[in-house]
Amino acid sequence: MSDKHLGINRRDFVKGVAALGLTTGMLGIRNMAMAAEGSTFTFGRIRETKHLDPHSSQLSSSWHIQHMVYDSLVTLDDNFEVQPSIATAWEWQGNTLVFTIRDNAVFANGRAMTMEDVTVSLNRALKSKGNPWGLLLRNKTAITAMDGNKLSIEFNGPNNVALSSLAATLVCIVPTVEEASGEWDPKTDMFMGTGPYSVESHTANDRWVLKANPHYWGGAPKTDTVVVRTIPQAQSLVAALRDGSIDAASFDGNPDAPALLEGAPDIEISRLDTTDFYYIGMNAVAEGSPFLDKSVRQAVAMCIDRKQLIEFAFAGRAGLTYGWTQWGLTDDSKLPIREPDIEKAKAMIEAANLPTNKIKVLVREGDTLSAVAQVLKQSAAKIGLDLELEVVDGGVWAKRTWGTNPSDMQMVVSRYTGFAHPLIITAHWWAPEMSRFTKGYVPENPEYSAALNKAVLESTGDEITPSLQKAYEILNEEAVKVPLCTDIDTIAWRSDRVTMSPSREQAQNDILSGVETFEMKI
Amino acid sequence: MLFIAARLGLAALTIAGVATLVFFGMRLIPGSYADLFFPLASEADREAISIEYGLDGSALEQYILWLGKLLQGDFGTSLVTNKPVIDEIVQRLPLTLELGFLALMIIAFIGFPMGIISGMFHKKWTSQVGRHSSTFLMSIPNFVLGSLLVYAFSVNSLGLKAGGWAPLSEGLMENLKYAILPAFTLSITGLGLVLATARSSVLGVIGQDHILAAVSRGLSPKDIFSKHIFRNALIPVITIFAIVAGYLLGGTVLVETVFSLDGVGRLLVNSITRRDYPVVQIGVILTATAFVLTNTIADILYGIIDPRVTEKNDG
Amino acid sequence: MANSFSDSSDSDTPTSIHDSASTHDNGHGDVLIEDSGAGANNPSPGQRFTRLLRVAGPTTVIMVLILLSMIFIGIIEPYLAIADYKNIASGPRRSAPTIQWLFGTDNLGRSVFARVLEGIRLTFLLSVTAVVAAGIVGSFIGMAAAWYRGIFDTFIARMADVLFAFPSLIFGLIISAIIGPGSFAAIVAIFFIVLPTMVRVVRGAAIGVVNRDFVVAAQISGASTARILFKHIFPNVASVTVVQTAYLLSIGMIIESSLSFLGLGVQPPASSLGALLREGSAFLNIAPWMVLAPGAVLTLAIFCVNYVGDAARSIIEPAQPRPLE
Repeated sequence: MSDKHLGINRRDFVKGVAALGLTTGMLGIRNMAMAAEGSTFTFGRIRETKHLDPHSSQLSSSWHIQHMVYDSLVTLDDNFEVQPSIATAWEWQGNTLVFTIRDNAVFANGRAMTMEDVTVSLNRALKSKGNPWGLLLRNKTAITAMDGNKLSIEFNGPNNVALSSLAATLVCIVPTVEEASGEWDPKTDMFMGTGPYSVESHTANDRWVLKANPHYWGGAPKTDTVVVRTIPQAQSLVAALRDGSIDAASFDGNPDAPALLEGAPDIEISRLDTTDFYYIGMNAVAEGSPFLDKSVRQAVAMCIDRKQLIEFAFAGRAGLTYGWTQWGLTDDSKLPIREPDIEKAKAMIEAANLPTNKIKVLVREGDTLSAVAQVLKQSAAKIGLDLELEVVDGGVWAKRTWGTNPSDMQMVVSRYTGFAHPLIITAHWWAPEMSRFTKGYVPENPEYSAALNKAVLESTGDEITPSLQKAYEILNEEAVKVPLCTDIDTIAWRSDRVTMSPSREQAQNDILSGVETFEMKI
Repeated sequence: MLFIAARLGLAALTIAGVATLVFFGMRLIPGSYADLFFPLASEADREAISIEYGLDGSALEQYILWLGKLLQGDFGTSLVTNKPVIDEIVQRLPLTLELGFLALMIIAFIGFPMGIISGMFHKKWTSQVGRHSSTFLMSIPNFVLGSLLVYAFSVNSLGLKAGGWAPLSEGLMENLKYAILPAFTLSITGLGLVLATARSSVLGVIGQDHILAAVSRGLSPKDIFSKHIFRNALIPVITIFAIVAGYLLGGTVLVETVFSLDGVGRLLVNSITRRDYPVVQIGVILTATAFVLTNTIADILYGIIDPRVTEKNDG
Repeated sequence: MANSFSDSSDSDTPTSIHDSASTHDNGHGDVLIEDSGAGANNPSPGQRFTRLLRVAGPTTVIMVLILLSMIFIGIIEPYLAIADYKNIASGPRRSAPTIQWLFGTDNLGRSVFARVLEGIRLTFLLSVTAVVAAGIVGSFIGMAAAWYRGIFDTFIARMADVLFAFPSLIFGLIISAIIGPGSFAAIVAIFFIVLPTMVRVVRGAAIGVVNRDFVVAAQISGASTARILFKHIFPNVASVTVVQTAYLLSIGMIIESSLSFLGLGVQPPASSLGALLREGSAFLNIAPWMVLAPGAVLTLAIFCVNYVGDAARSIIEPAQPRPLE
């Protein structure tokens, strides 16, 4: 049985875009003969990597680098279809997922990867602190290496997220022999895996220098050295592109990136659609929170002017979504709360008879998040609520939202990574009995959990979508977390210096996907 | 000698105070390293992480432990990169020191002469210009000037770079292309200060009896300037210069932010938001030490020049 | 930005560069000493005012007028019709300055002019609150240290040293992280950054007074400590306090805008001038007005404060009396 049903039919234009990417990629191949010895590709981005151990890295800023260094069993293409990586083939045998492991994977230090690396790595990942993948594979019973380079993962029932979720770096293959001998220390930044590059040096907040892995199973990378620089301001990224100190850049969803780049010669721009999305969360657990009352939550969800949000906070560059439906799998139009209805929302707030109209909002640091929060403040003012924004760094945000029970906030504004399939993570984030860390503000809802479990563990084929749709309708009606819109990033590069075909669709922040095929012209 | 020893003792005491303040200050910030880096981990896991990184136990216990290591020359390891703190700082020090050095040069070779000229011709318009421009220079926040320069030079770069960095190893000219704008931005407040000080000390000297006497003795203006005015004007300027120098190391945060530079200032800001306690602690101690030492040297110099200070000092 | 140059920015009096009054307290009264109520001649208020204008000069008068009008506009700003244009989507995104949008609009379609007016209010409000509080607390601590001397004095002096040596912006960042970013954090940070300077200056001035005859006389006649501090010592350090407050005000404004520039001062959508500069810096190339307008206004405001502070000093403390040799 294949997992074809998990491949999502993306919108047609995406396919067109992907085809375009393919031609650019072929142009690259044609130029292969010209590949220069000692060529260096320099990439700029806004955020610096924080987490180092790939199995504990929960932030996308780490994945940017880790995707280049570590391989997982499978990978995703631009249509979010599962593609071979360390595993060359797979099939379901009943409730057991059997992978054929490639025999030509070699770590950057020259040691060939073994079956033991694979099994030890997977077990290590699932045991790692804060790694939520154990939740996704919760009905797993055993991971076993078998003869003939086969790996089996046994489940005690169906698991509809298993295959797609194994594409994440959180379950990548690490050099376990070197870890035991101390040669590879996961606590340091010297990343080393079977991927196309490995870390040569790292200066925190400044640059990562990666060297090509000559043994890479996909063929030696076209560019010897990749430098990833952290340049925290979009303005400076543009300047660096113009003066040639970087060859390409990602703008971390900065909606004004195309305007900033306007008029710059030899710069090509590509839009990168993602499933990542902005959302608000309302505290429906803490005593004294105005959002214990469902009608108040619904009123807030109902007052949001998404059109204004997208036009002003995102310069039109964001995908409209009303529910948790941004993958296009489920139907937005059937959700109970959609278009703004100020009159009704206002009446609901008045009826709720709140002791105060002031609401404290915890906003995670970031220019776009701050703009989003300000638009929300204006929307909420129309129904008589006064949102007081507090923009805090990630540490304080996480401590007060996730690390405290009940959460030390009334409302939060933040962004989630969407992944390739709604079942992978976002749906689980909603169920506090599973994801634990949201317990501080999300109440348990047995009806939702049942619908979710049905979709993940009990359904097959066409039954998944109806279960998911039901789950989403419950989420939308409960209005504890309300998605606002999806994120669109911009990738820009110097067409006179590098030939590259960047990813057009990303679900797990692999912004340098295909970097081994990028080729310098000079 | 006793005075010098006492001054150094006070300096050490001050640095110890700064060390204590930064240690407990950092621990008062909500959200620990474990909270920040492992927000999805369970309570028990986060506890384990705290133990692994030596962040368990009361703040006082940790403080004593840290102080003990510090006195043995162990500056600790960055929680985020797992590299020795000293490496993290030393790596960025050249940039910050160079900016500071260039800023001091700008202050010394532009601010000081301008101040002298403005003071010498105190009845002329140059003096008024000197007075107003020094106030003006001290009124421009350096991030405002920095932003302005970034904008102006992005329109027409004139060969200079507003943002980024080329280390000295890539050649002096290449390096200066990147360094000159941030260094100028950094110098602005000190420039105004030295200009004003030089101007007013020249003004103060010119009116004094011995100058008038020298004039009546018929000494040439050149001699009056070099023997009397310049030397007298120098003393307060040197003191101010030392104070400015002490501030520069801690004053680069905004300049580094505006010009996207990876120096000690930005390292400190980033380390605060990441709860990288060891880096913040050592960075702050280092910056404070630079400040205290330059001030102490200025004090000692002042004491040598003006012996009354040593007698009457009651600080 | 370490900007507590304060006790050294005393530009026209090089003798007060460094721990001024204490290092140069030679027992002969460098500081203007005047026992309360012992004014020599009492001109009428009208005469005083004309004399003040004459001493101050036309430029100072202009600066005072600019400063006053800024403060006035800041105070009435929330009640002006233009305040409505601080709303999101009241104009197009990033419109260049026009007649309708004097300073252009920002990335959320708000009038930059309207937001700058609010910025003037917030920047003044926060720095004046913090600096005046530091002035009051600092004078009290400084006088007490000068009066009691001994252990208390030493302790205060050492604490001031430590705060003084701590890199000021980093100190502000840590304060802001501890109590959460916002106006209150900014006020607390400015307060502690300017406090040591205030304490040092007041203490230095007070030391020159505590041994004066009239203070000793008051003590012998059995006056309470509080009475002596406020009735006899304070009037003599008041001028120093006022002059220093003016200086520290400009430093307070720089600290406030620096903290806001780093995102740790007032919270959005409130717009202090530093916060506007922060928002604008992301759009420098495509919407320079978002930076130039608040930057120019902030610089002008600080310049006026510095200038008026200078003038105030030269009026209150005319030329430093030369030490008697």
